[in-house]
Amino acid sequence: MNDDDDELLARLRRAADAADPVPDLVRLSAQAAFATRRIDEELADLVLDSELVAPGQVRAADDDVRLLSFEAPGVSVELQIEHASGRVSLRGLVSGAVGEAVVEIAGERRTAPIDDEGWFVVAGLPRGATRVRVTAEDGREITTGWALL
Amino acid sequence: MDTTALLASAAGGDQGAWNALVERYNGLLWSIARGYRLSAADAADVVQATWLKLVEHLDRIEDPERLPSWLGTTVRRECLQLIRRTVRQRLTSNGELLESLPDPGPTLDHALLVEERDAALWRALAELSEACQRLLRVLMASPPPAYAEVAAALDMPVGSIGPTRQRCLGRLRDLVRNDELLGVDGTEDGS
Repeated sequence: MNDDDDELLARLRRAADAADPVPDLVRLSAQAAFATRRIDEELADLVLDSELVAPGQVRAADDDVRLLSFEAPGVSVELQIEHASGRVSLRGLVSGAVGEAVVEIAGERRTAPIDDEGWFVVAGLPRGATRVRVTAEDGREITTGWALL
Repeated sequence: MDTTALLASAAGGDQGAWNALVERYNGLLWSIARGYRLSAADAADVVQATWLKLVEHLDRIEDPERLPSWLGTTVRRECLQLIRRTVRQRLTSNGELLESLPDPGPTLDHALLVEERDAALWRALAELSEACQRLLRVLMASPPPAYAEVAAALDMPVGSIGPTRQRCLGRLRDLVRNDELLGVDGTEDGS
């Protein structure tokens, strides 16, 4: 019985290898992911994702907007994410950082100035894993964790 | 090299060690995402997000032995979040839910399966319960994952993998028989 099962599973595995293999691009992207390592930057950890909170707890005003909040010592980055026709727009509120916000997504990089009140806006981004880098007031480079938008 | 050594080398900046980790676990991650019936594009996104998070955590993996569990748990979380997001977006844009979740599911390419019996197996797979599809798709990954990895990946008790596998394969056999094809038990060519 078990041998039969093993045999059937082996057959299924061969079929999966033929019909649904890991695409080359997925393998190459996974290898290239290694280049995103930043040992000299500080990671801002995800402290809140409105998608992971029970309904009604945080997502008050607008259910379409996803809210992500990241924190590192002295710096916080809050992202409001909206989707429209397959593109992503990002509105960020930063505290403890100055200058520009660098948004990284799928090998692309977009830069936006942070205004006096701490806001920055980037629109028309592709969907995919995204992170944001800012420079703290004391010069430290802070990068948020990756989030799939 | 074992996983612990590969992780240590990768943390030290060795791209080759990283590639070896990708070679070892990418198939598992892909199979989990596809088992959740994500489209190829969505599966690619969740798998990539998982690898990026591992890069981010290279120095913080506390128990290297448990890397497969960490990867499996991470990708499963990404899958479930993406499914929830898709549902919510469909709800908000249409007021009601469209058809099945989250996508039509992987349209496994029958044309690539030369043998009619293989094609029949694929068709039958799609008729199994979601839980069976998920488990079998992961068990079909290349290289084949250990039960402990499967358990972590699907959040199932290790002890339940064997019995569930047996039950799901049994159902699959029944379905293929109903398909009025020759049995898959090797009565034809035994290969």
